[in-house]
Amino acid sequence: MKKQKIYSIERKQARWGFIFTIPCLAFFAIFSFYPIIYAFLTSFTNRQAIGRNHSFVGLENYIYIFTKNNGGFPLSNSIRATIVFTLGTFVPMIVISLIVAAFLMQLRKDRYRGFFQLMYYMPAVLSSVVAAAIWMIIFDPRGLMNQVSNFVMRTTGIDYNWLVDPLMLQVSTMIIYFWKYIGYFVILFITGLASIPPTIYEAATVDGSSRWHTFWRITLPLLKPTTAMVSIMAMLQCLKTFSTQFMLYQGGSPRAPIDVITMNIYFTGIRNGRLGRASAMSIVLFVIMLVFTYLQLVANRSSEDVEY
Amino acid sequence: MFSVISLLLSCQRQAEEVVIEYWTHADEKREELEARLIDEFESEYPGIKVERRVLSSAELLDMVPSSLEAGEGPVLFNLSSEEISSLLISGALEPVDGSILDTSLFIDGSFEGVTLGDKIYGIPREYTNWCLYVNKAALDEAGLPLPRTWEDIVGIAESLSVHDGPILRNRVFDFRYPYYLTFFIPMVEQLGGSLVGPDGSFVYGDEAWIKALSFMQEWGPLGKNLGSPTLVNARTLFNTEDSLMCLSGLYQEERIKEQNPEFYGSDRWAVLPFPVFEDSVADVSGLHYMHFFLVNAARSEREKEAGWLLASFFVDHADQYLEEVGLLIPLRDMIEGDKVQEKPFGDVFISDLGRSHAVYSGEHASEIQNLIGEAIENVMLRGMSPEQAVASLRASVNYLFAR
Repeated sequence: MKKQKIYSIERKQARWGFIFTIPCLAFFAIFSFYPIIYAFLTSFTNRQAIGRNHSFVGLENYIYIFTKNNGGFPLSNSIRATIVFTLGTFVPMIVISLIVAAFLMQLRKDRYRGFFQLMYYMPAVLSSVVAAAIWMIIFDPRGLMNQVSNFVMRTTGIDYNWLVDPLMLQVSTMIIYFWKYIGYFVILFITGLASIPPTIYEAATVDGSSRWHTFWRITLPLLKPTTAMVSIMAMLQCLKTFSTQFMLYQGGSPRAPIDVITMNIYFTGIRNGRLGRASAMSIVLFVIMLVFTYLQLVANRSSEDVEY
Repeated sequence: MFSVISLLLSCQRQAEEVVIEYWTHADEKREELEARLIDEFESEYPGIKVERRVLSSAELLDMVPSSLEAGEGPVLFNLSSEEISSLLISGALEPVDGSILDTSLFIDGSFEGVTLGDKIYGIPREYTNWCLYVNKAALDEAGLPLPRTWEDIVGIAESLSVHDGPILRNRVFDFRYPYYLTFFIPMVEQLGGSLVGPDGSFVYGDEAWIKALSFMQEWGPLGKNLGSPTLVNARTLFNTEDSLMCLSGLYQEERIKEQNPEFYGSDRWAVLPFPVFEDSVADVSGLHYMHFFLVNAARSEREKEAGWLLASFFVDHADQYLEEVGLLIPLRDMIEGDKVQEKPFGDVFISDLGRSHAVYSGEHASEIQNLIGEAIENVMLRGMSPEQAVASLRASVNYLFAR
């Protein structure tokens, strides 16, 4: 007589859990894993856009992008532009979004908090094209940014060349990105802050802890998991930045200072039709993102220990 | 009984209906005309339905190759001369059905950018050269003569541009920045250089290139600060009299008429020949380019046939393209007849065509245009020396042709 298998409740639940994740896994497999694998395979070929024939070229594309200047737009410059942009954007974004979130949490009335959350989040829903168009007007030599800069720097009539000077152009892309996405990270931090039990703050108050002391000794340590998650997300988003730089380039700004990896991939693959080479660049970007994420996870490892 | 038969017939007709997706770049005046022509076309050919999709010029350049790469894409679309070579070489384009195209009706050279071997792959829709639009009244008022040379333009710009310290508040003229093959190459040619030299090498004649780039450097924010690629297109400002000069084609007249009819109807503006340098060694005007109707080779035979039918229908209405949109289709009748001459300053455009030649439309034309733009932006905005920019441009162009 055949013996009937008996499953534990946990195992049954795990099975259902797996069944429920199948649609999500299928989605990721089709729209994420497959393109990554396909790009990886394409990076070993000399495939060109539209052309139907291509052949295996081994590591030729990788050797090329690391040793040649790619028609005046070397990958090394793109890596530099990407890292400068990422560091210049995500570090201030994490710090300031945390500060803003902490301030918003101090607001006693929910409707005020809701209003400011909405205000901060609004730019995130704007399309990048609209955002860039707005900022092109602000950065115009006759625009608001020069007026503010002249006021702050106590100068008169100086053109700070926000869209022209290589350094200022990089700063401009950082400002646009910062403006557009800070609200998103503020919301994430507010969610993290709201999950800290109020009893801990009450106990601290009873023990005579000051607000400043409470923030440093209670809020920040308990917020570590959120900070780790937000910083990884922000960093990955910054590494993938494209539309801000592309729109400024379309508006006439020079490409080299803001030629981030994604933009180089776009020009190499779509405009110049070298799909094999562009795929190799995208794999390099993937590896950079993987390495940075791993480093951040290692740096934040202790965050998993937080318990309320 | 009859209703059943008519229902069956209508079902059959529906099954036979061909849908042509037609992608084109944004142009308000042309949109009105083509919408009307499509209605006429659909009533003349009831089995064909046309879906016209308007994209910005930049979107069109991205979406056409990527959609064709994916085996999709429109049946009919249009691209300008310098954007076609890669599609042509890759076999993505369908040769024109010989039965609908009588090449003898077109002027010589009309199919230069779309011919491969003995086959023609496109029908020209626009034939454009740029001349200099000037606000004559403003120059008269300032007591300045009409410009003939680039140096005259610099002089006028220096006199009439408004600066607030180093901030340029009001421009007098500016170039059509992304379209370097059209306006910058003739400037190089005027100075004795060229994009392709007699020996087939690219970026020919260092001295001319350096001189032309030096001129652009002087013009830009790091020089006399008279204009910049990052500012609003001067062509758009001209219509509202916010800029005194711009380079544009005959189509600009219809846009002035639309935006500022009072200015259009006045004698306050004029069109002058494309400027030259004082020490020009060659009399070259703005290079002419074309927009071609092209058909996607990957579509079904019926769709391709219908696509060419629509393209030739559009071309059959060349008169209306000229009258309503200011677009010139390079038909002999149009160029040699009186219709263009009857347009304000039409004679200037026709006469300048005699000093012009076609833009480079060979392999990598589009990328070369981007690289020239990079060289110009490097000298204008980043302070790179023209010598270095020329060397870098040549290396980059050679890279395109290296395997």
